[in-house]
Amino acid sequence: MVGFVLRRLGQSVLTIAGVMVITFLLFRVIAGDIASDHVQGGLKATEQAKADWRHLHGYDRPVLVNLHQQLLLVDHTSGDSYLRVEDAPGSEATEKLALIPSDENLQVRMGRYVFGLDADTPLADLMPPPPKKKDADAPPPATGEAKQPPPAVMVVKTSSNATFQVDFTPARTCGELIEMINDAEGNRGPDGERLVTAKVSDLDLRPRSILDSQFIDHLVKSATFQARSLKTNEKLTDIIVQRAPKSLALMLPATAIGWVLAMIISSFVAYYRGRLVDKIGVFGSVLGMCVPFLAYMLYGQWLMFKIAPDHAYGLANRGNIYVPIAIMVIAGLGGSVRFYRTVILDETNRDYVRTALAKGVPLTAVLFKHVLKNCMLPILTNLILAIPFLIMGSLLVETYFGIPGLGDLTLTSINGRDEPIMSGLVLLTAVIWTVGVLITDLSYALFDPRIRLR
Amino acid sequence: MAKNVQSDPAGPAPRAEAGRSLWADARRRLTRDRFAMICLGVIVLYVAIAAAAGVYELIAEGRDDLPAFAETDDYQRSNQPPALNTWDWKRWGGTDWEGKSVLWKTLLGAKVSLTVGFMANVIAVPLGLILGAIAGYYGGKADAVIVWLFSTLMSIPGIVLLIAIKFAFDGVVVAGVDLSGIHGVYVALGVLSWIGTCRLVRAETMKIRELDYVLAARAIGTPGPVILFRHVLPNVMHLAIINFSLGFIGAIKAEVILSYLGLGVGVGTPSWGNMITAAQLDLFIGRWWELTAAVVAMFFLVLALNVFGDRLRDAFDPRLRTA
Repeated sequence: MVGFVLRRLGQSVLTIAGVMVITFLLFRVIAGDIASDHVQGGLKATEQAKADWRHLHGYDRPVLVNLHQQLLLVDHTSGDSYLRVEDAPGSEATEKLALIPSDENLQVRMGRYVFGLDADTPLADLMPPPPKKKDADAPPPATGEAKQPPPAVMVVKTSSNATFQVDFTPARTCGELIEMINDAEGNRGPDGERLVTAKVSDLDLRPRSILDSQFIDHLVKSATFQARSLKTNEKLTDIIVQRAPKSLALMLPATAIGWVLAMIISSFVAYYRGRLVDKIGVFGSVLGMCVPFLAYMLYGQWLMFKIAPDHAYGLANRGNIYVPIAIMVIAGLGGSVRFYRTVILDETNRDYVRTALAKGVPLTAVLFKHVLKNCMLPILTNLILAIPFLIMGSLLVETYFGIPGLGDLTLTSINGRDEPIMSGLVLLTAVIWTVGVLITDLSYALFDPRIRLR
Repeated sequence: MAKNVQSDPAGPAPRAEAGRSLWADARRRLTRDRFAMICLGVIVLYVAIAAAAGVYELIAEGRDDLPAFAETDDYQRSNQPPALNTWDWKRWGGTDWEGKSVLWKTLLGAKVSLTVGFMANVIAVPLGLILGAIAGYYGGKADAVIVWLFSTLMSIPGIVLLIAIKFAFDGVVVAGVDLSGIHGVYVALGVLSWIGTCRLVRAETMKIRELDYVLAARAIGTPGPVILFRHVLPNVMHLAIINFSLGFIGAIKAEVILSYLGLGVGVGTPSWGNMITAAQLDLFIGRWWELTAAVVAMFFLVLALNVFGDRLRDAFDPRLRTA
C-alpha cells in the first residue's frame, strides 16, 4: 500500500510539472513577443519602450538556461550621474541595438542575449526580432538599387558628463562594433585613458546566474503562486480570493441540484428499464445532449429578458444567479442521466443481484444495501472530478452573464495576454484536478484490494 | 509445417457453420438497425449538402453568371423574416443583416462543421490509435511516458487549453500553413482529442497482448512491431472507427464555441458558430431566425452522429453480443 501511494504521488508531481512545461511552451514560446500588447501605443510603440517593458518583466532573458551573453558598455570615469546612451538625431541606434539602461548605472546593456557571443557574431543577431507579419500580401520591399541603411549613431554620456558620438552604421559584426566604440575619437580622457569600454559580458557560471532564465523563473513563480498581473500588478492569490466566491455561488448550486436531479431521474429510469418510461427518458437525455450549449445560454437569457429584464445580466440583483444556474443544470442533465443510468444498470445486471433475489432477499434490501453501495464508487469519482470546476467556474456562462468569477477571468486574461495570470489559473486547475484524481485513486485502492495489487 | 497441414490427406475439416468476422457481423447488425440507418442517412445528407455547397462555391468563383455566396449582399433586403409563401428558396430562411440568405448560409455552414470534424479526427484518431497501441503493447517506459502525456493534458480543462492553443497560434505560420484561421482549429482540436481513443486502445491492447495467438506469434520469433501492427492493431481498429464517429460531435461543438469566442474560422466564413455569434443579440429585437437556423442544423447533425456512434459501438462491442 505504501509503495502504491508513493508511486501515485510521484506520478502526480510529474503531471503538475508537465502542466508547468505546457503553460510555458504555450504562453511564452509559441505566443512569442507579447510586449506590444502591454506597452502604451501597442504595435506602434517604439522599440525602446518595448525593450524596457521586456527588461522590466524579465522577458529579455534567455529562454531555457542562462548561458547567453550580451554586449556591455562599462564606464570608467565614476562621476556622480549615470552612464547614458541616446540616439543622435535622425539615427536608429536604439532600435538597432535595443539599448537598455542598467540598474547599476555604470554599465549599459546592448542588444539581446546571444548564445556564444564573440567578435565574429553578426550584429543582426543582437537586434530584436522583426515584428510578426500579419498579412502575407504586404508589398515586398522595393528591390532595384540597394537601400541605404538608416544611420546608426549613438551619443554616449558618461557619468562625469563627458559626451561623445559613435557612428556604427557600417559595423557588421560585434567585433567591429566594439572596436568602433573603444577607438572612438571622443572616448579618451585628458590622460589618454579610455572613458568607456565596450566588451562582451562574462559568462557568469554561478548557479544563481545560470538559472536566471525565463523557464526557471516561470517554474518558481508558478510553483509558489507569486505571479502578478501584467495589467494591474495585482497578486494572483488576491484576485483568486476575490473572484472565487462568485464562481462558487454559481457552480455549487448548479452542481448540487444537477446531481440530485440526475440521480433521481436515472434511478427512476433504470428501475423501469426496457419499458416506455426508460425509452422516453434515454431518448430525452440524448436530445438534451445534442442541443448546443450556446443555444441554452442564448435562449435562456432571452427568456429571462422577456420575464424580468433587470435580472438577465450582471450580478446587481440577487435573483440574477438563478438563470445561469438553471441553464447549467438543464444543459448538464442529459449527459448525467445517461451516465448514471448506465452505472446503475451495470450493477443491477451483475450475478450477485440475481443470486440475492433468487434466495429471497427483498428487492429494496438488494437495491439499497448492495447495489447502491457498489454504485457509489463511480458516482463519487464523478463528483470529485467536478471539484475543479466548482472553483474555476464556467468560462462561457460567466462571460455571457457578466459574472465576475474565475472563468470570466480566464478568458479575459487570455484575451489580454496576461501571461502570469493565465499560467497561474491553468496550473491551479491542474493542481486541484490532480489532487482529486489522487484522492479517488487512493480511496479505490483502500476499498478494493485488486487495484493496489496490480 | 504449413505445407504438411495443407497436404493432409484428410483435407481441412468442412466447417459446420460459416463464421462471420467481427466486421461482417457488425455490418449485419447495423444494416438491420433501422434507426441507425436513418441516422446514417441524415449524416450522408449533410455530407452531400456540404460537398454540393463546396463544389458550387468553386464553380461560382470563376464565373460571372453564378453568384457566389459572398457576393450576395443585398442591403435593401436585410433582416427579413422567413417567408414561405414564395418560390424563391433563398427567402425561406429569412435574411441576415447583410441581406444574405440565412438558409443558404446554414447549408454552407455544414461544410465548415464537417470539415472541422473530419480534419480534427484525421489527426486525432491515428495519433491515439498508434500511441495507445504502443503504450499498451510495450508497457514499461513507453507506457509511462504516454500515460504521463495524456494525464497531463487531461488535467487542464479542454476548453481552456483549446483557447490557449488557438491564441498562441495567432500569426504562426508552419510550413506555409497559416495557423491563425481554420487550419489552427484543425490542429488544435487534433492534438487535444486523441486522448479518449488512446486510453481505450491502450486498455484493449493490454488485454489482447496476453492472448494465446500473440504468445504464439512471439514464440515463433515474429518481431514486436510486426505483431503490433499486423496482429494486434487490426483487432482494435473498431475502436478507432467508433471514436471517429463520436469525435465528430466534440469537434463540431468546439468549432462553434471557438467561433463564438472569436478564435474559430475567420469572420465572414459562413459557419454555424459565426452565425450564432452574429445573431446573439438579434434575439432581443425579435430576429430569431438566424440563430435558430444554426442551432437546428447543428442539433440534427449532432443527434444523428450521436445515435449512429452509439449503435456503431453496440454493433462492435462483443460484450453486448449475448444480451
